[in-house]
Parts: sequence; structure tokens; C-alpha cells
Amino acid sequence: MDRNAEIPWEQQVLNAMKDFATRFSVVYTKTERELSAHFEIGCLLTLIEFYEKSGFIGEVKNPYKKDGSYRYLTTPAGNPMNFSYMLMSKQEGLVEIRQQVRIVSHVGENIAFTPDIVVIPFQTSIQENIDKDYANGKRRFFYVTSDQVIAAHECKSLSPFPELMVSFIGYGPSWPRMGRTKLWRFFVSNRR
Amino acid sequence: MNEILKVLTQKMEHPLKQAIQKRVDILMSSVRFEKERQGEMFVKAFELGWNLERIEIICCLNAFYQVVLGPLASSSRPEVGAGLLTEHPISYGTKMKFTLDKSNEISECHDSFSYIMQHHGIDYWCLQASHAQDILYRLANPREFYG
Repeated sequence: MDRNAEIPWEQQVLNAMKDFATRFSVVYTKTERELSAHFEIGCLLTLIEFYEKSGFIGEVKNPYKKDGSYRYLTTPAGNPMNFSYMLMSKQEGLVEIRQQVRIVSHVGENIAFTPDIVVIPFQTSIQENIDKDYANGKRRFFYVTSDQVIAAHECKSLSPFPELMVSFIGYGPSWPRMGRTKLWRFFVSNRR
Repeated sequence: MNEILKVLTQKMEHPLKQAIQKRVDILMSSVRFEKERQGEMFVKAFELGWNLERIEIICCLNAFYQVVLGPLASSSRPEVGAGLLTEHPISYGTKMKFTLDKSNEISECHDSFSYIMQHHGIDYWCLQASHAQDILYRLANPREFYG
């Protein structure tokens, strides 16, 4: 006889969650920042998987020399040369998947936008300059131009809805000329 | 705070607890509205045994999944062939290093949660729904197979 048969469903779920929390709270108890980092990593892995399913072979470029790890660029202020990226190769061409690369608009050179992940052709030169209007000229401004971008991806951990799509597209005045394939994708689902 | 949420969020930081609770409040506010206006899906779900207390449990699990477990589990993809995680752990910032072992732990955690949901007859779709109306629709229209 099922011992749970006489226990109300609500209590059964509570008991199961107590057991779950006892066993896994160490695993899932994270800060907001950590959760957001995990989701971004998840988006990157999903994108790599997408390219792999399309026939590309992935390779980690510029890993951290000390331990071979993939150094994830978390802010556009970082120098992309010091961080890792993915090279995806296929007979038809090579592309790079990078994080936090600014895209400067074709409309105006003072307009820039930084999606979470960008796909650019292999060996695209990431330009840099010192601009007095940027961090008082104390930091280098790294960017690519919009015509060099194949795809841009923004990681949002929520289900998509039309206003989100429209507002996001509206932020990128550079987008009409962006992309050789004109393939834009958004990672908006937190499904595995 | 609901007892289930208290258990699940016991060791979490306050802002995260707040974010989860806020989501539950928003969902439950819509559910109460549906109850008040006797919405078709609410009535149908109620007839199938989903009273307010049970629906609140679903909303709590939905909030926990959407805010914590879903985003966390999205990173657990050791099957990516490029060697990320298997050969190259991911260093995110200066403090976080995501390794294959950690990825496996998260997978196990996610699988265990999924099993509990299935075992208690909770459609996985309810955890991924954005709005209370979506949850009510699924509760009112149970699927034969889910997981």
C-alpha cells in the first residue's frame, strides 16, 4: 500500500520539497549575479550547439593559459584580446562568437550598442580608440562596425512577448544594415 | 510566505527571496481575479481539484523555477561538442569558475526537481508559463503525457 495515499497532496509536495532542499540547496542557492551568469553561459552554449547542428565545428580560442579555461568577457570595458571566444568553422566559412562586443551604428559613430553575444566573421578587427567622452578618456573603447556583424544576441531569462521584441529592435538603429545573413535570434527562454 | 517557498529559499539572499515572492504575488493576484470573475479556465481547473491553495503551490514552484532553477540549469550543457565544460571550464569574472562537475551537479538537481514534479502530477509546462492564465489553462486542460 502506498504510504503517501493518506497524506494530502499539499503535504506530499511540501515533504518532497523539504527533501529536495536538504539535498540540493547547496547547488541552487546562488546570488542574483551568479544566476544571471549561469543563464548567459547557457545562452552561449545553446548558440554554439545551434552552429554545431548546422555543421560547424567549434574551437575555443585564446583560452586562459594558466588552466585552459574559457575566459568569458563579462563587460564591454574589457579588452577582447585578453578573453576567449569561439571559432566556428565550416567549409563555407569561419565565424567568431564573442561576448560583449560593442557595435557602432552606421547612422552615427557616436551611437553604439552592446549585445550580450555577437557573431562576426573570422578575423574581424576589433577596433579601439580613446574618446574623451568615454570614461573621461581613461579607458579604451572597443568596437566593431555594424556592417561586420552577422548576428547579435541578447540574453533574457523570460518568455518572449511582442513588446519586448519591438523595444529591443528599436534600440538598435544600426540594425537595418546589420548582418550578412540578416539572421537575428533572441535567447529569451530559460528552457534547457 | 508560503511554506514551500520558505523551505526552498531558506538559504537565499533577501533580494532573490523578494524577487520570487513578488512573482508569486503577481501570479496569485491574477488567479484571484480569475476566481472573482469566475473565468472559464479557473472554474474548469477548480472542478478538477485545483483549489486556491493548490494553485498557490503551483505558482510558488513556477516562481522558484523561473527565477532560480531554470536559469541555473540552462548552463548545464556538457553535450556541446566544442569541448566547453568537458575540456575548458568557463571562468566568468574573477570569482566564478564553471566546471563539468558543477554542471553535473546542476543537472542532477534539475532532474530531481523534474522527477518530483512528474511524480506529483505537476505538468512541467506550468513551471514555464509566464502568466497565471497560462497556468490555469494547463491545469484546466491536463495533458496525458508530460515530464
